[in-house]
Amino acid sequence: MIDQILEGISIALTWQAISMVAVGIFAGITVGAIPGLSGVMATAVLVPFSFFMAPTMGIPFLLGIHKGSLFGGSIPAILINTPGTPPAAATCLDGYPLAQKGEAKSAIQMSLYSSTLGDTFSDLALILAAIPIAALALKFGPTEFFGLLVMGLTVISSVTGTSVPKGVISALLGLLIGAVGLDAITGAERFTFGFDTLQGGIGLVPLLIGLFAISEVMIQVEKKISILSQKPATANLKGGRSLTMGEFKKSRRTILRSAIIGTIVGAIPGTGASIATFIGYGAAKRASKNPEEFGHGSYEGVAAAESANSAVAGADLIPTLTLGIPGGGTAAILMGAFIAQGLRPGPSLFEENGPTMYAIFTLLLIGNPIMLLQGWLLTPFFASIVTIRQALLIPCIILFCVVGSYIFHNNLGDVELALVSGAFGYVLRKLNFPLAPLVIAYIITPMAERSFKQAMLLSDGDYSVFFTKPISLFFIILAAIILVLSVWKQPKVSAE
Amino acid sequence: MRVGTISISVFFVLFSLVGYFYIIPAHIVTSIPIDASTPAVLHPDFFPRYTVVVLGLVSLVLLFSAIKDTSPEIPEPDRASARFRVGVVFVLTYLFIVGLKYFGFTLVAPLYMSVIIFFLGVRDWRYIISMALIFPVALSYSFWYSFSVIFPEGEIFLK
Amino acid sequence: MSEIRWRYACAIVLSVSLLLMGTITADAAKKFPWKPIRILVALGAGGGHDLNARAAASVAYDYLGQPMIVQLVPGAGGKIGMGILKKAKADGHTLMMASSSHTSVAPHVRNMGYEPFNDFEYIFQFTKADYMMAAMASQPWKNFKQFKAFAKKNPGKLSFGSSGIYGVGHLMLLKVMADAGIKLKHIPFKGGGPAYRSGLGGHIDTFGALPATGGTLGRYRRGQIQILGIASKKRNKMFPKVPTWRENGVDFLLASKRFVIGPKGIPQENIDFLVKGFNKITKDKTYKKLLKKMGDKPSPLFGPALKADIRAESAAYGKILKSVGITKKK
Repeated sequence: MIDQILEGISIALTWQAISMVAVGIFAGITVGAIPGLSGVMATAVLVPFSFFMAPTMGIPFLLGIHKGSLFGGSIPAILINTPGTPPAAATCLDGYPLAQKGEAKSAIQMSLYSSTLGDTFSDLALILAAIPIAALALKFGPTEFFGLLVMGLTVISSVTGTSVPKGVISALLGLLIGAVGLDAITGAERFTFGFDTLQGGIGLVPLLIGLFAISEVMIQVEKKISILSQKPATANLKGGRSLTMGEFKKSRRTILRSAIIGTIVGAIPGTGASIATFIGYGAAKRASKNPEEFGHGSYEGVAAAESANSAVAGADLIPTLTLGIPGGGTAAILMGAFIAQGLRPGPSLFEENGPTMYAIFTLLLIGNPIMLLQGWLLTPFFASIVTIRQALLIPCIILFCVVGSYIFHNNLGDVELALVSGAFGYVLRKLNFPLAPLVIAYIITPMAERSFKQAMLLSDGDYSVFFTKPISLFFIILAAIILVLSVWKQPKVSAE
Repeated sequence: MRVGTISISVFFVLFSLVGYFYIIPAHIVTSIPIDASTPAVLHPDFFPRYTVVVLGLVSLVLLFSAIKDTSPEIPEPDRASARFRVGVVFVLTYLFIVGLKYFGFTLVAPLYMSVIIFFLGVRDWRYIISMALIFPVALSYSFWYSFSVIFPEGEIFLK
Repeated sequence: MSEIRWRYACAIVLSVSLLLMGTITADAAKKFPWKPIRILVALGAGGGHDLNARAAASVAYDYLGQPMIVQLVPGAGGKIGMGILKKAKADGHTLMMASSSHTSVAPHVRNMGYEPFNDFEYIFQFTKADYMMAAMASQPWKNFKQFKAFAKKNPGKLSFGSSGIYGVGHLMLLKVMADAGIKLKHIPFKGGGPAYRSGLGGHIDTFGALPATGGTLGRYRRGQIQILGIASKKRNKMFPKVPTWRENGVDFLLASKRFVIGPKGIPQENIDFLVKGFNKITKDKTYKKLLKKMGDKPSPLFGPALKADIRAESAAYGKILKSVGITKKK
């Protein structure tokens, strides 16, 4: 295994790979800094770009975007009280008051340092967690996979948000969408309605681009024309001072606490950066010596929020890469990118692609100091991005979406699919249906169905295999525990 | 939103019925005849059928809870024109895709960009021209140069 | 206001006409090839055909005079990609790195919208790799004879993991079962990789393998896996102890082939030019190095011999499929 690690490191330490990470981070911060473009959306739109690069460059590029956007989102949060990405909402609370006091520059610097540290922490956690799980890879046969995937599906129950029926319906829709295409076991065509494009199923990339990016654009378009076509008013960077060492040191513990919270929450499949951020913020406030400052311009508040949301960047990948269960929206998209590059996330990922994965880990870690550097040097540039009018941005985003869904398979049918899922996603979001269950169900169900049928064929129809094989049994028990916990914690939705 | 939730739950209930009785039997096509001895679980229609049943049931639950829900509605200002804008953008984007198929990217993309930018309120023609021309051209050129990827060329030009 | 609108209109008209002029190219009598050559791959990213096409494309400019661009057009089991190829202009600028499953298997099963031997020209084969059936060395049987005996005593107990329904592995299984008179469980996977890994983990008894991929050669030499048969005419030099299927009493030949086809009607001189160029590519050092990394080596074949080879395999597979009741529907 050591030789695989060394090989991976040598693949990673090339100028091309490192510059791809740098480009990704730059793109991520830029996109994150634009209010109305979330990191999820940017990743979805840029995934197709990564297809044309080798996996050791394309994936770090996307991961760079993921990292960069979590920091970039804090910039408009601080300057114009608008989160650039949803997880940056908590940063508005303390960042904007600081900017109003003329301390925008130091606030952004605090955000930068906290983001970098939080991210590094979770990257290390990812690396440490991945390896032991990878060692178990070969023990997973169809029966074990099914148990694992069932557990993945039950995790959905904990992400249903406020309305359980809506969350369940969302998951069921994902299930049905996933059923379109050729059935692996019998070769039957399901729900293709004669369209050739659908025989391979509804593509992950067009679906995600539509659901996350196009629907988001549509929601932005709802704003009044006067808002879309004017430049937003922004607080000034000028005159601010740099963050002092003393102020930074005071927030040390907060940053660490938030990093841990972000990593744990992020590692739970289905939860995203937003949840992690608020939990981190809340915990910091409770533990702080000056809780009354929170919400009025506390550096600790900024640190807590940013460290937590950046920690999610690495932690998201833990269940995604090791178990093949997406940790969140962006992770689902990244999973699609992995699959498209021929890397199959899940227990066998390291078995098959050891050096590639270690290269990717190396680049993940290298990305953090790069982000720090870019943040230091380029903050004025990013600050100006904040002021671009949405009326100009929106057509560019749509163009990216169209191009992205096209180059997936050189097929305009995929672009139509993206547009349709965009409409679908728009309706679902307006009616408060959560999208996370849909995506998770869509990804997991075809695999679960296949594993189930394979296991049945192998055992000649004996259902008890799932309970007699130890690994499978373990995951099924885990699934049951998760289900019970989530039902117990949920306030009952009274239907009487 | 209450009206919206009610209508969509009704839609899902109907969808489940149509799905169970029509779509599933009619649109699952097998090319090798399935052995009569294979247990029902292995048939291609097993999972979809039960999914659709559960969907119908849960939609009914949602329907009832939406009807009972008497909490105050958050007013959405300016709804009609918002929906109008969304609709227009959708239609324009669809036309864009059709245009791509026949006329290719280099012609249609700048046209589409200019229309949308104009529609969204920017009137200064300098911005419109520069964004609409430079951005698509830069995009397709950089894709060609760095990844050797060709954007749609338009059927009327290929034959 | 109207002044601005007028300028706006002029600018649009001017730019549109410029763009229009740029996109309509006059196809005057030019030397072939006069624009980049597009090589389609009707399979997914990262697969053998994709990588092989890219390997060839990376050195093609020096031998063909134009860059070669790989375009992935997967979907519908090849129907989409082959459909695009069929409709493309038959001047030699649009080609495909084809797979036997699209030319020789799928047309027997479904209506693919093309006639493999009437609609396409068969230009050049780059590589081929013979298919094998592998199993863990730890199994109680150590060669095909013992395996056959065990299977006969325990019908329906042993399993074979294939790369998918109607895939090459499935075909091999059908023929083996028919000719050896044994019954095995067929467990379809999504692709050869997962089946292979499941086999290594001991969850299925036998699985398909190629000499190059998955570390097969290394595992065989270390004694981790055994190989029951190889689907070639003669024994493979790297696996001298492995009997061919014909030696085992199973009349089955199958290789994973990467060969270039084009739409019918390409002028013969263009085809000859391509064949010459591709031949030179197979001798290129960089190309050979790339292939070696994938575990392949060049195996050129072209002209009528190539078409006859594909026709023969198509006929053989058609027979196998018919014998189990699979005939074209729709």
